[in-house]
Amino acid sequence: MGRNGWSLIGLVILLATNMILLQYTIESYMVYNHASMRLYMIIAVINVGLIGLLYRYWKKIEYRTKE
Amino acid sequence: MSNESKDRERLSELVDNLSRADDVKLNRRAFIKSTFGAGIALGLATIPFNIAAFVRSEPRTDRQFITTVEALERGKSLEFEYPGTEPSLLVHLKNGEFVAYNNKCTHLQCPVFYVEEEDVLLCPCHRGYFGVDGQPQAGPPQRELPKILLEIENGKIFAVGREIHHGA
Repeated sequence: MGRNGWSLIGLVILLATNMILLQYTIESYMVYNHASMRLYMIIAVINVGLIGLLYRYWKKIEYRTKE
Repeated sequence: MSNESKDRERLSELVDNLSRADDVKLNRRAFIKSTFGAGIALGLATIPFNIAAFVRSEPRTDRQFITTVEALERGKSLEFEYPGTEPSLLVHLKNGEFVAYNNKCTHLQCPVFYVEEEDVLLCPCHRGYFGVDGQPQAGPPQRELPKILLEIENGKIFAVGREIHHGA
């Protein structure tokens, strides 16, 4: 598998992680578990940063001109 | 008309209602870009919940009278509100012990009921089972039910606080 494929696998993992983190955040919100909510938010925001970096990387590969 | 031309005609009818412009928008790159966007949106969606949690105040956990020991038979349960207006469930276990939990299922907030025959707390929405210690046993819930701390004084049962995490 090429670099493009690996970057898409990374994207799917980060997307799934953020989905689960959002669900956990909502569950914690319902039971006033603020400490866990903060932790989930921090991880989710870090993931957002990683998705941004991955997007730049993917774009570089996807739009490169073949020699 | 030959069979071949009939087939061609039928095919042209099938593609007549397709918009070529719409097809172009739904290409692979656009889909991947949308997925990146969805990942970012899901991550950022955790922030408003934290802001809302920061702004709101936790309900007061004052001492509150629930019922008397005699009023609740063994193997029976009683719904009450604590803290504030949050629904809770007081259970008189078969061994004589009293336990109380917030009875909103930690999966999707459905009400949880005590099932005397199986000695478990059951969320009927998605068949989520909790033990009488409040820990999830089966089904979708992954977290324990918040525990209501009880005090029994002169045959009267009082709620005196709440523990979100109370261990196994």
